[in-house]
Amino acid sequence: MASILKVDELRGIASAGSITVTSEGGAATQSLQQGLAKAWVSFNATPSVGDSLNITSLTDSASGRPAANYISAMANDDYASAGMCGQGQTTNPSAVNFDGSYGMQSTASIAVVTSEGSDSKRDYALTTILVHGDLA
Amino acid sequence: MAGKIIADQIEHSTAGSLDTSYVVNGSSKAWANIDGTGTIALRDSLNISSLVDDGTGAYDTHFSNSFSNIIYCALGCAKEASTGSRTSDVDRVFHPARLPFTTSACAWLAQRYDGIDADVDEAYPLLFGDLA
Repeated sequence: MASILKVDELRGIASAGSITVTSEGGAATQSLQQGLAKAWVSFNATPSVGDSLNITSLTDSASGRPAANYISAMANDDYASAGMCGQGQTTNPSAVNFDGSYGMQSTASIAVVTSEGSDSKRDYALTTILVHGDLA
Repeated sequence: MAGKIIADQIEHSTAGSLDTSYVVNGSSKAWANIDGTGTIALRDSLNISSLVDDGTGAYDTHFSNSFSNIIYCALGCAKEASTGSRTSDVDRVFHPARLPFTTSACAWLAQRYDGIDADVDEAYPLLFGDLA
């Protein structure tokens, strides 16, 4: 019989922000909090959010320069993120990128550059961003 | 004393329920924010024991806890140097290198879109799969 834990919030005992889970193979334990995505978002060229976690709004600075703003801030800007974008083209590769001039990670938001291989910035029908790191 | 709960499903009062297998299988098993220029270094990470500079644009991430197999998912992005300019350069891509994954390490390569290997100011590898 499956066991069901009914709870609205999980907290560690020794440290409220630290809960460990056992690995699939059973040989290791890993922090639950550290492994969870802290934000993700899927949006279109408008840009308009399709679905998201921990995203309060999008900012459209210019063509190919969207930014997603967090509901709960990150603890620092040393987090890891990745993304993809596209709209069914078969000719030019496209990617979410981070640029020293435009794409920046901060505790409050993540700004990216979406562009083609030719280096031309453009908005895409679908852009996704995934963020892992520490919440404040 | 540490408490331990064994459960197959977690149920929130309003947000719904989730099989705990999604918590274990759906969590990232390793991630990093890498300073990829000069002497490479970790800014922050999960389950990364060390980095190896394998040449221009090439980085090896070694895991603290090994994966149970080499069929894991690896993805990443990069940020080009803060002195870089999109008006004079092309974007960077950061991806798993064309080397076999191992359970204890993963090799990565940062390149410009024109195919030239290049170091990056920051690189963000993310890995999902089963730990040993």
